[in-house]
Amino acid sequence: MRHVTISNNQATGSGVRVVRTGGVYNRGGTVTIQNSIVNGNQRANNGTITATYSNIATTGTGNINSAPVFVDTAANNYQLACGAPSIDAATDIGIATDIEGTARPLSGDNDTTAVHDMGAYEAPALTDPDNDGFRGCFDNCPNVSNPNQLDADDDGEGDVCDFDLDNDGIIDSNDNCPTIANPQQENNDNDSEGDVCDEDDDNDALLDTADNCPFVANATQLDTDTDNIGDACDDDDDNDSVLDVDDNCPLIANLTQDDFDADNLGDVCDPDADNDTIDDSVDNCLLLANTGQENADSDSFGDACDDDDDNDTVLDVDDNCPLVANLGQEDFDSDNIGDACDPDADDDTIDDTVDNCLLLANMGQENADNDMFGDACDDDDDNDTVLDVNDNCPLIANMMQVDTDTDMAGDACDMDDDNDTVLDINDNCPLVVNMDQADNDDDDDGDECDDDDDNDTIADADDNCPLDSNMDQLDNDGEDGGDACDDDDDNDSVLDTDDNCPFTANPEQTDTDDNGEGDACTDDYDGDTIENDGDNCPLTPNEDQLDTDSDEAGDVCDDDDDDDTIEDELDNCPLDANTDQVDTDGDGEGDACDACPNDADTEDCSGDTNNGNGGDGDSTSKTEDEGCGCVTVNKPTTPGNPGLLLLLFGAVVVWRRRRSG
Amino acid sequence: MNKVLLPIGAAIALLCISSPAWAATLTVPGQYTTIQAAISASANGDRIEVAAGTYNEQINFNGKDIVVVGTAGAAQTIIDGGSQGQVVRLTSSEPSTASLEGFTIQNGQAVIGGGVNVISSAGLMLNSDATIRNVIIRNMAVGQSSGVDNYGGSAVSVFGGSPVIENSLMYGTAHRLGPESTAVTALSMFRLGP
Repeated sequence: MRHVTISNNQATGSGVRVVRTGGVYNRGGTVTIQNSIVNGNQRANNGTITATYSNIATTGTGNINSAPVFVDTAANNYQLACGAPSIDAATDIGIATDIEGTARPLSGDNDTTAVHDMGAYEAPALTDPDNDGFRGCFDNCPNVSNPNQLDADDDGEGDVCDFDLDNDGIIDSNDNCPTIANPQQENNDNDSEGDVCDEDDDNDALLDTADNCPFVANATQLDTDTDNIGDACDDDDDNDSVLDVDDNCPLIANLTQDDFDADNLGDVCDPDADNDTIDDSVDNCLLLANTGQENADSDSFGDACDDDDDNDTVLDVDDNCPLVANLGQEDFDSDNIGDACDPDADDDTIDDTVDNCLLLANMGQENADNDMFGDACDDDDDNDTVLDVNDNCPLIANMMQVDTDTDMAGDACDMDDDNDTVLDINDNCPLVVNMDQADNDDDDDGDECDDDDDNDTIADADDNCPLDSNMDQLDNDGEDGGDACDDDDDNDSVLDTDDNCPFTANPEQTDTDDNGEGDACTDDYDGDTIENDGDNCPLTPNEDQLDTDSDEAGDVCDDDDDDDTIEDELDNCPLDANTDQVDTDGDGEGDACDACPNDADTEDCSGDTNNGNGGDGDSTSKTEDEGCGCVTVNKPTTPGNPGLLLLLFGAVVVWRRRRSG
Repeated sequence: MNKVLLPIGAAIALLCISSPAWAATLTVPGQYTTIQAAISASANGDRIEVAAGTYNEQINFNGKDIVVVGTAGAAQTIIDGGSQGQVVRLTSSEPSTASLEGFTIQNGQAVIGGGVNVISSAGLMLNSDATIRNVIIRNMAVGQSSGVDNYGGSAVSVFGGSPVIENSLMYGTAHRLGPESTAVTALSMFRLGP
């Protein structure tokens, strides 16, 4: 086998007694290899192989064992690349061409001596167009003489001909880092220098070597977790293993990501972790919403999160006033709400804010003295300086303790000051016993306490009738009180109510005219409108004052009206003087006055033989009533009895004097 | 200049040393559509010139002392086995004057199995003294083997003779082995038996 190239072959699979080789396998034969390349296969050769001047893992003259370098195996181009170790490494074995007919040998290395190459292909001869002593691929600037072959970027292209000194594909004139490869021309801060050559990639005035975020401007170099990676470029600023993009507190380590108020801000960085609108810096309950910040005991914990809100050492769960310190737990009304916080500690339905007796039930809030303390809890309810225990009116100020009826209830509070069973409000003499409530003058002051019982302006003490109004104080009889109250004003033993002359003593009560007014006190005894002094019959009514006989005694009071000396009762003609009393016809009517003196039985005198004026001797004219036979007789006026009249006159004078006396 | 003189010299030499019968040159595909048809039609000493192209076939020298040449060179003259078996066989003790030159042999596939001490190869099977020159052998594979002590070379297997291979390239071959089998690549030399 001569000038053969065996490379890039695989030997795969598995099994028993398997010999695998990607190159040459010799089992029992003779294999002679010259000027060949048996290298770069998957597995080593196997069996006895004789090789010379070959690139093979076999010892032999001229052999090398080196990775073959082909032009482009991916494109199935197994020609030797310039500089390949197999170039000019074989020997002349009489084969003048290669697989493609190219003449062998050629000088494919940096010298001018043509030597056969190993393998199927003879590498082309190299030239030195710039004549600098370096040929072909050995010259990093084939067309520009550079005997020194300087190649700063070691890209195989000498500096003198390298327009891309850093070999990054960007010509230097456009390269933001001409001497440092940066084919993508990354330039974080968009300045004139690419990142790889920019000492301050983020242009934050801090050199990258001292910058904890060289690619993110962060002049403050803030590095929350002090991991030497600035926050600006740290995926986990707080180093809590939760990436910032997922971290609800990217700057404060909170591995558990607790977020009490579920607002996507972790509690540790939430300015209001419980979302109660109170900034945590001042929130007394960080993780319990308590917008009101109630803090009964003013400690550092709000009531909402304080086990002992009032700091009275009694835990809230046991405290009957969790918000008001009351170590004693006093609970007056046993309603499990301590007095200290019980809006109605005495359970009297009155809110303590207005209860004048906080710990004494006094639903009525009685407060006689209107001071701060209700009566129920006031030692001096009426504030009269007399303690209630000594006060006969504890609820009504009565410093003097007046108690009219000494019933231990002062007048000020005694409904019946005089204890007369009549309540004062109804008592016309509240301070004077007068059960009968007599009030003579109806002036609402009972007589017992009325200085002027009859309201006649005359004080009772001076009043001759204290119970009967008699401002004139008349006292007809001068004794037994004034007339107003004297039931016998004329003291004649006849009560005024029965006395026909109450002001004129007339025990006999004579009342001639029976008009209810006694004669002793009347000017017309007989009530005939003729005063006694002119009355011919003062005691017998005779308004006509008829006095037949003109004897000044009227007929009605004259026993002998015709003054014929025959009393009228006996006189058959009382009005006609007939002393003889002749009665012819015997009819009881004297002839002097008998119209039919002779006929006793008729009226028309039919039986009278002496009709007319027939002989009766009566001077009285008679008029016959021819129709009915009636006769009107005109009696002559009888003059009064002068003696009787005089007697009556004297009596009247005496009576009037007594009245006036 | 060598490229010109060498073929001429070779031709003169051939004329001088050839058999008494006049050697013929057979062309493919000019005269024969397939290389194997030309081989079959050839006689010892003949030359078969194969023009550029891809020839999908397997060929066997069948012991003939002939020269088969890809005139356009290996890069353009391809014998493609179509992954259906060995591509080229010179297994009949062809003499050293027989040769195969200027071809690319590809897509061979040998299936080794069914027996004991079976030798196979996907590309070239050689049991001759022939010369293989300027040949590219690539993309060969040995298929599943089910026998015992079977042998296969993906590219070249030599189990007899003293062939000469020169200016040739073997790459990109692979093989798959089964149990109780032995196979190698790219070139195998076997001398079996006593």
